[in-house]
Amino acid sequence: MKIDKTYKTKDWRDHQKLGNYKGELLLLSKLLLLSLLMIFHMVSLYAQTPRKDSGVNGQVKYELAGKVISSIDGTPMQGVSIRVDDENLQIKTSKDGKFQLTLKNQKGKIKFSSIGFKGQEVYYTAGVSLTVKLIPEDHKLEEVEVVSTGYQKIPKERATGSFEFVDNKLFNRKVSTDFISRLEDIVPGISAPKVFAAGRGNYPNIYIRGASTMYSQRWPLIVLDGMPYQGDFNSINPNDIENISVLKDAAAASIWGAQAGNGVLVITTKKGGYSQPITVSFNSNLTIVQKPDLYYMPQMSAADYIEVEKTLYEKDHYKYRFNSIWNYFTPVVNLLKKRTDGLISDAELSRELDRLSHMDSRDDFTKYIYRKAFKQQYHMQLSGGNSKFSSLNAVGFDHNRNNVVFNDNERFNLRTSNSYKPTEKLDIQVSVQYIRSQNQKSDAPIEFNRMGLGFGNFPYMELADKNGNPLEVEALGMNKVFRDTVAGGRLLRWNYIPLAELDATSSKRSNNEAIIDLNMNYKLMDGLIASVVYNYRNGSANDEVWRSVESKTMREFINIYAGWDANQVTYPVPVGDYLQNFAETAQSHQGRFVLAFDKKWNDKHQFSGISGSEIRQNQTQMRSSTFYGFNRENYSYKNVDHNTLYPSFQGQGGYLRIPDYGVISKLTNRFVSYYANGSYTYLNKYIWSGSVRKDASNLFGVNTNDKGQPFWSVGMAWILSNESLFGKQKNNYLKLRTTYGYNGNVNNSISALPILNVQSNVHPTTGNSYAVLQSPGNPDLRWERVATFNLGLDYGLFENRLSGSIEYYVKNSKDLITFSRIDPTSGYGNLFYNSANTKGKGIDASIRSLNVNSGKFKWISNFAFAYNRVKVTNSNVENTLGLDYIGGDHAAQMTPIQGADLFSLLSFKWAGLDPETGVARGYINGEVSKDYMSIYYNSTIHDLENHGSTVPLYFGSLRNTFEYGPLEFSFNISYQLGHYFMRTSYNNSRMVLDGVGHLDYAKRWRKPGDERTTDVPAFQYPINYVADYFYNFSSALVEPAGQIKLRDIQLSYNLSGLKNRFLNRASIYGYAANVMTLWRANKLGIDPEFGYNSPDPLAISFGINLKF
Amino acid sequence: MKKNLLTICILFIGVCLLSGCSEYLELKPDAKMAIPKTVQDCELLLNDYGTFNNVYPYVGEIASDNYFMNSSDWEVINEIDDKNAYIWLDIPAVLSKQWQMPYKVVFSANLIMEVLDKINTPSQEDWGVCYGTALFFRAFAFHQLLDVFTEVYQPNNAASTLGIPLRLSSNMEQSLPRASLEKSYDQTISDYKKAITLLPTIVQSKGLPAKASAYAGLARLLLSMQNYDEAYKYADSALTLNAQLLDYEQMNADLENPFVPFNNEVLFQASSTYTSVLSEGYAKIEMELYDAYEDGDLRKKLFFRENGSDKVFRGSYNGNPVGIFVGLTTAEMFLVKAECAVRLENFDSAKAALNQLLKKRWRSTSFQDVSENDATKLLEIVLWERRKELLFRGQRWPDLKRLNLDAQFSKTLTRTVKNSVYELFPNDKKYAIMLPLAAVREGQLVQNSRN
Repeated sequence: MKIDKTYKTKDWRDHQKLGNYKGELLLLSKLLLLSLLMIFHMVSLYAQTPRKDSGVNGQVKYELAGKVISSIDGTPMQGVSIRVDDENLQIKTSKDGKFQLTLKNQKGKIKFSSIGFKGQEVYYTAGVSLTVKLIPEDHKLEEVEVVSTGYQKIPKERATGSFEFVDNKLFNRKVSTDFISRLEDIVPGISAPKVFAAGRGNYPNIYIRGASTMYSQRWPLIVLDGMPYQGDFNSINPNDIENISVLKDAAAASIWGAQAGNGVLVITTKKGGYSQPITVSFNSNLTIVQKPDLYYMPQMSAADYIEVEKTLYEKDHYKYRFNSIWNYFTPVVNLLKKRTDGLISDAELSRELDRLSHMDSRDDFTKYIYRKAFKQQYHMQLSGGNSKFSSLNAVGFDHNRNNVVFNDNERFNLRTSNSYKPTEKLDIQVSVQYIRSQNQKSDAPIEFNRMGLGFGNFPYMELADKNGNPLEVEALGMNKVFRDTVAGGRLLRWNYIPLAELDATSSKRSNNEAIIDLNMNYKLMDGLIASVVYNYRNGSANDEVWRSVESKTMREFINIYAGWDANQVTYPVPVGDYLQNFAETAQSHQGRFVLAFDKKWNDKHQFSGISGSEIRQNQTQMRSSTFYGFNRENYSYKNVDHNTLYPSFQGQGGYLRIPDYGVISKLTNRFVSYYANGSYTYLNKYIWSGSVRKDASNLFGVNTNDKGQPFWSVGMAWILSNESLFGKQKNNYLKLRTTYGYNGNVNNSISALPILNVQSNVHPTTGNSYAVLQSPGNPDLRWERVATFNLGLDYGLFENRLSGSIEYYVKNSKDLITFSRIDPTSGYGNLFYNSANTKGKGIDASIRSLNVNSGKFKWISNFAFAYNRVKVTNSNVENTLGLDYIGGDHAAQMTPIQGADLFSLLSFKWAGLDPETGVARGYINGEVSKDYMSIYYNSTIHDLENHGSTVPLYFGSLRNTFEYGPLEFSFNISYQLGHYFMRTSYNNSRMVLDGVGHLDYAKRWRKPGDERTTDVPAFQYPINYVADYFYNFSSALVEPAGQIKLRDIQLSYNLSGLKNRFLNRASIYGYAANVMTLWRANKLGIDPEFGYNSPDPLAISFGINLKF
Repeated sequence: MKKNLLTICILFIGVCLLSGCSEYLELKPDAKMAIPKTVQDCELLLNDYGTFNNVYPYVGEIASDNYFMNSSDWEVINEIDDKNAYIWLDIPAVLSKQWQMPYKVVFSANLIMEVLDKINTPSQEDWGVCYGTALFFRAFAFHQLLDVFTEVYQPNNAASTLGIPLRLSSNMEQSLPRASLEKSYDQTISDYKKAITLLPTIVQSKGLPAKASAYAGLARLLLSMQNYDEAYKYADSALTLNAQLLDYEQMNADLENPFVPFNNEVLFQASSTYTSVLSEGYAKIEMELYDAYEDGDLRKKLFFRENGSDKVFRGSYNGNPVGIFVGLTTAEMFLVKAECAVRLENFDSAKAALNQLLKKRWRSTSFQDVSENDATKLLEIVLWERRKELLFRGQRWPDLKRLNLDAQFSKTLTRTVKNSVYELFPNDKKYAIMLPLAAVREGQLVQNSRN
C-alpha cells in the first residue's frame, strides 16, 4: 500500500499547488465583500430624500408613481390592480399603464395583479418611480417567448424564422461546468457527436441541423449579449446565463451573414431589473463522477498475447530485430530470449509466463491512474435596482478534479452589469466581466492506451508490484540493451517508471479574460431607437509545459544529443528541466450602430425593423520561449546552441539540431458588415419579413471586390388562429410560417493567390531563414453559401395543454470547399477547391404536453424529434478511388460522392472466410477473390458497399417532468437512430508489427467450420498487410449504431418551510447523468456513441439554491 | 425635420464606414503571410529545403543491384509500392509522392520565375541568382524524373520516345501530356545551361546551387545521354571551379555515420524521400560489390557496417538515415571526367582524374596509381570505380540503363523472394518505371508500355 499513500500525498500537494485553493477562497470572500459594498452604495443612492408633502392633518405623506408594462413587448398595461395592504389602498392603472398613489409610509410593499399574469410583490420607496413588468402566467394561452437574435428581441409570435428557446429553468436542469453540454438532448435539431474524445470539451461540439460545411469552420456561432464571442466557450459560466436562443434557419440567422451557416447560439446573460428589490442568490453543487470502465475496452487477453509472442519468437520474427536499436521488446520476448541464451530454465520461464498470463494492465490503470472525479461549483449573485439604476453582480467559482490523476481545472468568473436610465429616452448599460481559468495535467500522456506505447502496450503491463511499489515498464520505443549500454552506460538513467514520474511533467494552461460591454440606447422619437454598442475583449492564455529531468521524456531527449569519448560524456542539451511558455494574447474590438424602428398604426399595421453597420477586429498574438537546463528552485536556465548539427549516438541516429520551438506570430481578422431587416404585421395575422446583410473581411489574396458577400432572407407567417375564418379560436393557437434565405461559412485558410509564410525558426537542416508556400493559390475560389428553406407550424391546442411546433427544412450548401485529389503532375496531390454541393433535408418537431394538471400534481412531457439527412448533390472533382472514402473503425469520414450521404459508411464487400485456410475473402467484379492488392487499391466507389450514414438520421429526446407541490422530478431519454458504425477488430499486421492486439483474436478462425461462426481471419505469419486492412475495412465489421439511453434524472425539492424574512427561496436538487442504456441495436455491447473510448461514467450531483 | 436629420445621420455613418472600409480590409490576416512579390520573397522560398532538396525519387535505387533483401524482411515491409518495385512487378505505384514531389519543385520554381519576370530587373545580381537557382531546381527535378520514369535516351529514337510532361508555368489548371524524350532532355539541358550563366560561384549553403552545381548536373545528364564529349567538358568545368575532395584517411571510422552533410565534396546537397527498403535494417549489400573493394580501400570500412553476417551501407552524405543522397559531388565529376576521357581515348586524362580521386580513397601507404593502358580494361576499371563510389546515390539505375546498350557491360539482374526468382533483362521496358496510378488517372498521362 506504499504507493497508494505517497500517491495521495502527492495528489493533495498537487491539488494545493494548482489552485492555491485556500487563497482562492480568500479572494472569493474578498470579492464578495466588495460586491456587497457596491450594492449598499447603490441602496443608499436609492434611498435618497423622497419628496415630502404635507398632509391635511399635518401628517407627512409620500407620493409614489409608476408604470406597469408587459414583459412580453413592453407595452403599457391598463387595468392592473394595485394594492398596498398595510394602508388598505387599492387602485388600477390608467390607459397608459401609469399609476399614482399617496402613502403614509415612506417604505413598504406593493402588490400588482392582472388576469393572465403572475402577481408581483415589490418593495417601494416613496418618491422613486417604479416600472413594473408583469410576466404572463405559464399556462396562459398566449404563452409568449421572447427570442433574441442578438440584435433584437422579438416575441416568438411575431417571428417568421426558426428559433428554439431554452429558458432558465430548462437550461439549469442539468448540472455542468460548461454551457454547451446543457443544450444536448433538449432542443430538436441539435446533435452532439461524442466519437472523437479530443474534440470534447475543446470545441463547441454540436451541430445545428447537421453539417453544412466540410472543411471550413463547422461549429455554430456563439453570440454573447449581442456580440460574437471570440474566446473559449468554456470560459462562460452557465450560472451567468439567463437563457439561450438557438437560431436555425435563414431568417433567424441571416442577420449574422457569413458566419451563420452552422446556426447561431444567442446567449443572454442575467441582468438586474429596474425597480426590483435586492436579491442575493446562491447556488452550489458537487458532482461525483465514477471512474471510467476500462474493462469495456476490447483488450486482448494476456494469455492470447503471450501466445502470439511465443509463436512469433519461434518463427524468428525478433531475430534480426535484436540487433536494431530502434526496436523494443516486451518482458515475454525478453524472457524467451533469456531462455534461448540459457540464462533461465524452462521451469522458470513457464512459471513467469503463467504469472504474466493472469495479469491485466487495466487493474493497475484503474487503481493508480484513474480516480473518481469531483466537480464543485459555487455561484453567488446580487441584483436589484430602482427606477433609474439597476445592477447585478456575480461571482462564480468552479473547481474540477478530473478522472485522471493530476488533471484538474478551475474557473473563476466575476461579472457586473449595470444599467442606468437618466431620462426616459436614454438607457445605458455597462457590463464588465473577468474570467480566470486554469487547468493542469501531466504533460506525458498517462491515460490507458495513451501512456508509453499507447495501443501497443502489452496487456500484462504491471505498473506496481504487490506492495504498491512503482515498477519499471518496458514502454520506450528503443532497444533496452542499447539504452543500457550506449556510451558504456554513462548516459542519464534510461528507463521508464510511470508511477514514479506521474508528476514529473506538467502542462498548465491559464486563461485570463476581460470583457467590457457598453450599450447605449436613445429613443429618437416614438418607436425609433438608436443604439451604439461597443465590446472589448482582452484575453490572454498561457501554456506552460514543464518536463523535469526526472521524467523519461527529458532524460531521453538529453541522451539522444549526448556525445562521448573514452573520458567523458558531453551534453549539448544541458542536464536539467525543460520549460516552454506559450503565450497567446487576443484582443477584439467590436462596434455597432443600429437604428431600430417599431410602430403600430390603427391597430392594423405594425412595422418593426433595424438597420445598422458593424465593424470588428480580432487580433491574436502568439509568442513562445523555450528554456533548457531549467532549474525550478531558482528559476535559472542555460543557453543552448541551436545552430550546430549534433551527431546523435555518434551519428547512428543521424544529425540533429536542438529545436528552438520559438513561435512568434500575429493574426488579425477584420470584418465590416451592413445589415437591415424588417417585419410587417397586418391585422395581427399576416407577417412578412425580410433581411439583407453584406459582410466583408480582410481575406488575403483575394481581390477587394471578392472580399464581400451579400446574404439575404425573406419570410412569411400566418397566424391562423387569429383568423375569423376559423371562428377566432380562443383556446387554440396555430401559426404557419415559411422562410428562405442565404447564410455563409468562413474559411480563412485558403486563398486565390499564392501565399508564402515566413517561418519563425531557421530550417533545421540548413540553418537558413526560409518561407514555405502555404497555399498555391486558387483563382476560382468562392465563398461558401448555404441556402435554407424552412416551413414551420406552431401550435397550441386544448388551452395550450398540447403545444409545440413542427418544421420542415432544406439546406442547400453550395460551393463547399473540400480537399480534392488532383493531378499530381501539378505538384500537389490534393488541394482545397470549391467542389461540392450538399443538400440537407430534415424535420424538427417538438411536442409539449401537459398530461395532468390537478392542483398540486403536474405531469408534463416534452418530446423532441429530429430527422436530418445531408447528401452530396454534386462533387465536381472526380475521384472514384474507393480507398479514399473508407474511414475504418469509428470514423465519421466525409464522403463527397455524388448521391451519397455526406458522412457515408463505405466498406469492402465481405465474402466470408476461406473455409480451407481461414483467410479473408472479398470480391472483384462480383467474383469471390483473395487478390487483396487489387481489392484494396483498385476498388472504385461503385465496388464498395454503402451502408448509409455514420451520423444519426433520427435523434431527439423524451423528457417527463412530474411536479408535486414543492417536489419536482424529471428524467430524460435520448435516442439516436438510423446510422451505422464500423467496429474495431483484430488486425494481424498491427499485432505483429506494433503489438496492438484486440479481444477478437480469441474468436479467430482455427479450423475448417469456424468460418460459419466467425469473421475473424486465422492468425498468419508472415503477415499479409493488405489482407489485414482489407478485413478491418470490410462490411463484416459494420453494425447498426442506433441506441436509446436514459440520459439523466433530475430531482429538486423546494424547501418552502425554510422561508422567512431573509430567505425568499431555498431548494435542493440532485442530478444523475449517464444513467443507463435502455436499448441498443448492436448486440456486441459496444457503445458507438463514444468511439474507441469507454462510455462516460455515471455522474451524480447534489446542489443547493438559495435566494435572499 | 426629424426625418431629414435621421437620413443625414444614417448617410453620414454609412459614408464614414465605407470610405474607411477599403483600407481597413487591406491589412493581412497573418503578419507572416505575403504574396510573393519581391526578390527577397523568392530567396526565402528557395531556402525551403524540405520542398526543394529532400524530395527526389528513390525507386530507381530500389530496383537496382547494389543490394538485396531477405524474403522474411521483404514480407515485413509496409510500403507495397516499394515491395513491388524490388521485384520489378508491372504494378503502378499507389502513392504518387515520388512523382508529385519533384513536380512540386517544378511548380515552385515556375512560380518563382513568374514573380521574377514581373519584377524584371535582370541586371541586379540577386535577381539573377534567384532566377538561376529556380532554373537549376527545375532542371534537377526534371532530371531526376527522367532517370527513373523514362526509357534510356538514344539519339536515334528520342524524338519518338515518351518523355515527361514539361510544366513551364505555375498554372495548375493546365494538364500537359508527356513530351518526347528528346524535348524533355532538351528542356533540361537548356535550363541547366541558363542556370550556369546566372548562378554565383560561391553559395552560402550547399542546399542552394552554385555555378559548379549546374555544370555538374549537366555533366551527369549528358553522360546518361552518352554524349561523352560534352559531358567531359562540363565535368571539367565543374572541377575547375571546385575540385575539393575529402581525404578518407582523415575520416573517423568509429563513428556510426562517418560523413556529415554539406561536406567539402558536396556540390549540391539533395536526397530522396525515405523508404525503409533502403535502410540499414533491410538492404544488405551484394557480396560481389563488397568484395570488389580491396583491403587498402578505405571505403570498405567507411561505407559499410556489419549487421550479423551481412554488410549494410552507412556511407550516406546525408548524415541522417533518411532518404538516399542524390546530390552532386566533386568525386562524381572526377568519375564522369575519367569515363568520358576513356571513351574519347584520352587515357592520360582519364587516369589522372581517376588517380586524383582514388588517392583520397585509399590508405596512402598502400595506394598505387592506376596505370592501365588498355582501353577496354581501363573503361572496366573506371566503371567499377564509379559503382564503388556512387552506390546508394540514385546513379546505378541510369547507369544500368545506358550500359545495357553496350553488350560488353549489359547485365541481367535477378532477385529471389520466397523461392521465386525474378529476372530483369538488359534493355527491358521495365527500365522505364511505371508512372504512379494517380498521375495516369488524374493527369490523363500515357503509361509506360510493357510490350
